[in-house]
Amino acid sequence: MNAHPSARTRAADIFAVLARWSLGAAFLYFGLNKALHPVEFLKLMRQYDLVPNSLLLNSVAAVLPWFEIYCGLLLLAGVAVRGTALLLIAMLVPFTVLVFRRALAIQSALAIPFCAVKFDCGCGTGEVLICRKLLENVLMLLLSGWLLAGYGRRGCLRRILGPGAAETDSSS
Amino acid sequence: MNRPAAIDVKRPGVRQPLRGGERFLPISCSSFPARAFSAGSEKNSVCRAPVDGPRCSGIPLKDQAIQSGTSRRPGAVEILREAVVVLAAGLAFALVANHISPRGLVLARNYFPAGTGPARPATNSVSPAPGELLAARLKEQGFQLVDGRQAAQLFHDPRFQAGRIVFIDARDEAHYREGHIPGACEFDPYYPEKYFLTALPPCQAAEQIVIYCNGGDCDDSESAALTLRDVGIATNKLFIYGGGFPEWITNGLPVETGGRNSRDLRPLKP
Repeated sequence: MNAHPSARTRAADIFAVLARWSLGAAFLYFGLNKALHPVEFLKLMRQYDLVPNSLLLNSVAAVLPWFEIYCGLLLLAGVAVRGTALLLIAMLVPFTVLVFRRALAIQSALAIPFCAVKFDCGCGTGEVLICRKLLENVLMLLLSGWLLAGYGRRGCLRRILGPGAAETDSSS
Repeated sequence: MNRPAAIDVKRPGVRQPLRGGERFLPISCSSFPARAFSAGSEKNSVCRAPVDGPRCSGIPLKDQAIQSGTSRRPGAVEILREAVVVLAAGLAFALVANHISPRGLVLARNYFPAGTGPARPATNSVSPAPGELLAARLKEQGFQLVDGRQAAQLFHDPRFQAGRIVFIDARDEAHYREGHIPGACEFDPYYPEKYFLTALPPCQAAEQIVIYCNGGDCDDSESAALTLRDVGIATNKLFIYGGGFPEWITNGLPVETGGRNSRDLRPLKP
């Protein structure tokens, strides 16, 4: 029997790390796009008519972009991967529902096929076709779930930093 | 010497007390490479490993688990705790970053004096709202709506050259630099403090102030009007050009690029 991980395990592990980096890079990109144009993001948030209070609306619009950047950096560095993955799922699920609901409203207002609905959902990617956006979100949810299950922790910062780091890694 | 204890191979490091008289514990090897154990190493068989130090080739079992990518999986509570810590640190980071950023939002400011609800129902597509609705809303606030023809007339009015009619561009800086109505003052209602010094004196001296933005579902001109009203500009002087800059271009009227009164007049494509 072989003590080293099989080639298949290793490939899955490498793929999981790539998934972690991709997810991290995506959130970094989305967050930066919003953080650089906070007023535009604020206006888009307003379109969802979620919060009646300006302080709440401002707070969400001010915090969310930077929080996404933060989560992206954590994933890229491999710090607190499972906790971050859980938070991404907690954000992605309501975002996806909101975007879906808004797309339905636009579809009924314009009387066009659902997948032809194209709008700026405030996701940091500008105007997108709704079906593509929903697919993207589902993919990101799956990747987050995968990371939450404990995969993709090779190359994590805590594991790289010294031999003692490996001892504590089990909780990262 | 360590006291004998049970080791769950799926959770290296987690020890349980031994039952009386046992020195070695049965350990399932199913989830571990067999070489991790010093004895009884067939998959799915029961191993007997000295629990105070199951080693293989001198590597502690826990390290082997980490190397093979099957290290201890934390429980839901542990993950939740980690998520709470990440959330708390992330929120603190986000608040500080927003505060430091020169483009950061001021949390206490009401950026939408006309209301935090959507400017137009459901869609953010380019379809403009009915003119009657806009006119009714502006009338409610005491503002007057002007159309493209009236805006052009005001632009060609001699009072415009004399500074008694002022145009205010309520779009952001990038759009303003790209092109604006010649002589229009820049006034982004989301960063008013940046423009009060340059925009307020002409507004105070003017008899009529025409405010425009991107037309359609853009209500930044309305926000600008409300902001100007809040700083003491009389409501009856404030006019909203509903069609906005896109209509101005479509009508083939002159456009100035760069700063105010740069005299850099260029045709822009509608």
